[in-house]
Amino acid sequence: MTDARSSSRILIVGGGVIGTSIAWHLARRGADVTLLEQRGIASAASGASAGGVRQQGRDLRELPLAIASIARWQDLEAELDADIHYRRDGHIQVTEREDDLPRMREAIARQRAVGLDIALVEGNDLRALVPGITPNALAGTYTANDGHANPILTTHAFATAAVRHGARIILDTRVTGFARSGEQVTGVETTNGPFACDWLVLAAGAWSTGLARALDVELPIAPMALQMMATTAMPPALAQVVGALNRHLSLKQIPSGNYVIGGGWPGNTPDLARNLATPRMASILGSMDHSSAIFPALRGARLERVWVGIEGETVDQVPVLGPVPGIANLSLATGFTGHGFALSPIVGQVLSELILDGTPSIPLDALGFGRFAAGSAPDLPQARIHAG
Amino acid sequence: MSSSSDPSLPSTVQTLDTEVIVIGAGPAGISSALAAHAAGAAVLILDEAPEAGGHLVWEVPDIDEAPIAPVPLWRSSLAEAAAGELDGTGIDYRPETAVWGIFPEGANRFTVGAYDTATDCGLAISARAVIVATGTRDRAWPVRGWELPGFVTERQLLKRLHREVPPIGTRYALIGDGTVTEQVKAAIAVTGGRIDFHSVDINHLRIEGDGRVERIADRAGAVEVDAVVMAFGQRIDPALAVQAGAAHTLHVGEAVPTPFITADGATTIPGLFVVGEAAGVQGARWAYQHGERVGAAAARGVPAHEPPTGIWIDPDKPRRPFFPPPRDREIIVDREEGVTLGAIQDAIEAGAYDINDVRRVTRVGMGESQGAESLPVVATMLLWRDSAIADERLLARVRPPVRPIPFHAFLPQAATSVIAVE
Repeated sequence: MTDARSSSRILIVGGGVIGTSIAWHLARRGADVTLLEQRGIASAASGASAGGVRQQGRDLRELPLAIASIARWQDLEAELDADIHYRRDGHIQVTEREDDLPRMREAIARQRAVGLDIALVEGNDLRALVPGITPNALAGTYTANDGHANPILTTHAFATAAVRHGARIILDTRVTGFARSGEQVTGVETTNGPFACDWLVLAAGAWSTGLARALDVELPIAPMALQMMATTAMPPALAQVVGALNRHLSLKQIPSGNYVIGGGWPGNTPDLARNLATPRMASILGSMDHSSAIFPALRGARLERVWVGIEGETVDQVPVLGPVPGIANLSLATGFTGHGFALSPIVGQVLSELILDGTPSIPLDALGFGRFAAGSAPDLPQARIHAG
Repeated sequence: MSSSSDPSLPSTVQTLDTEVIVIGAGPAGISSALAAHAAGAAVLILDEAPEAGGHLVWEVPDIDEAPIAPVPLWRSSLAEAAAGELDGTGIDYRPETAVWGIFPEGANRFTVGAYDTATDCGLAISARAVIVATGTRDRAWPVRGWELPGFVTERQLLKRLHREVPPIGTRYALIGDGTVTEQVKAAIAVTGGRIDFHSVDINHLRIEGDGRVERIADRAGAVEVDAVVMAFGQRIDPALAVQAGAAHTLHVGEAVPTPFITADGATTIPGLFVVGEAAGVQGARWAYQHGERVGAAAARGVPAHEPPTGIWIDPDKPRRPFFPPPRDREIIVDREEGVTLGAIQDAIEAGAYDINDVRRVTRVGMGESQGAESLPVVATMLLWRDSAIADERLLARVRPPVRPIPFHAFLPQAATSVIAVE
């Protein structure tokens, strides 16, 4: 692998939370960074994100990144000099079924072994911790330093900070092709003219697959439509992010008082050309059912808004990070499958290390493109939680 | 028409099947329902109002004929005639039923989400065609102090005076001179009020008061009033068709999204139609005639069509909405979320990409009405700044529910069951 010197021109494709974080991390180390975005900042998945900042429930391959990312979130508002509504009030994944308890204990042991501070909270302790939880909830796995933030404000804050450090962010500019010379990408063609580059980063979510194909790289990433919804503002009653086993649920109350509800409910098949995905009624009704079953105060809520985000989903549900064989100056940071928001600070950091230093401070091999190579079938994750 | 229980839906939600759903029981809705029914289709009309006739219901037929209180003050003969046409036809007419979303489920297949406000019951209705006959809504443009109770738009006042609600007061200020202004003047006179202030110029106006409207001031001075009525006429309200995903463009004058439709009212979604004033047809009688054509088209079905391209914009002509943007930074643009003009200006100057970006950053238009009042102001600000801005950046997304719906009306009776989802 060739290392990019700080004088080389780095081009990032994608103005979501991942691309803007990478741009900021590179720019603040003095790199020459240009970010190209086909629409506006956070106009696709990042603008539709649930905003969860969570370590628990992750695939063990990405857990080290998640733990390191939470450490970064602690100081992120100060580093970015922006209010991004970060709240560190915990995340709890509850169950209503006695027979879930053994596997919850196993999951806790597994995650503790990798260094996550996670515990089982049961019975009255659970009700004291989350007073509004259903009486049917028997126990929950709790991580005190998980939380949530506003994904729109966060993405804009990354972008603004990147520009402050000299990065160029060019909106309304769609990549239409690439210029190559041997194993190097030398530039991109866009709707806004050509851009030369010494290093290319693909951080285009669901749109990465089509872009990579133009580089003869086949990414196992498909578009997915994730449906979210929000209630009208209500009095503050929930500090934690709440999820539930056997349900599709991710629930939080944001500072404006609205409950934001997700959990992997599908929208209709997205139209990538129009950046359009429409909601499904069955997902609205199902989401109302599951969320109010776990948090009964929602039976008195009113539904205010529903939206659908278009995200890239990898075959094995974890992102693709790092180099691609055959192209010496390309880095991938895509396929986050609906849970990339929390990882954005650390992904920006490790990708900037990979590009500027040649070696990331956290190994990315388990999340690399190499896992898709013929013959090495990926390990499927233990549990799937779409909590943003 | 059949009623059934779909096992995938919660038990409290009533599910219905019909052929043609008409949303709105104004002149266009009634005539399109009659035409679709005459063509042999099973028809269901959903209307949020308690009585059929749309805005005709509150119209003062003639000042000399209107009886003096006690209320209700008047019954519009036009509205009665229109509603009377539905009697005995077999058309299923459901008043007090608000539609909150249209969900296309493939070609000529829809589920419409509705909420019966009288029985507090959720509805999911399947149909092969949906006609959006939602008419117009009052134009409302920001004025200093318009967030105070006592500020109303013209039809809000007519509706209020028509129902058995005490008049807001006796001293009125009137802003503007819209299509129903004469009606407003008549209604105020009939209910014993008088107009102490009238201005057609929105600039330099200030509505003031401690917790409610107490006076209105312009550069000439202040006048004590109980209520301020904005009478700027009406604009099209096709939001449900936009929400359903029909291809749409910007109505530059009104600065709102409007779907592409054919003369038959067909949108780019096969089976979805827009009729009457919602489709830009002006006036009750023309809207009624349009309904006859659209109802027949919906009953027989029409081929899908592609949106036209490039015909709406003349690059040499500046695109100017009917109203210029307000200038006072302190003016509240979004009365639900309390977002000021200054906050929106700042977001635009900071490089907000499009109207949806402004919305998410400032929360303008994030409230219950989905920005029906505030987002045209934002689109106008963006257009005023750059009249060559791409349409796409001015089109605010319209999402279900177009009005808030209560969870409890859409939940299973017993929420204790655990549902395995994987």
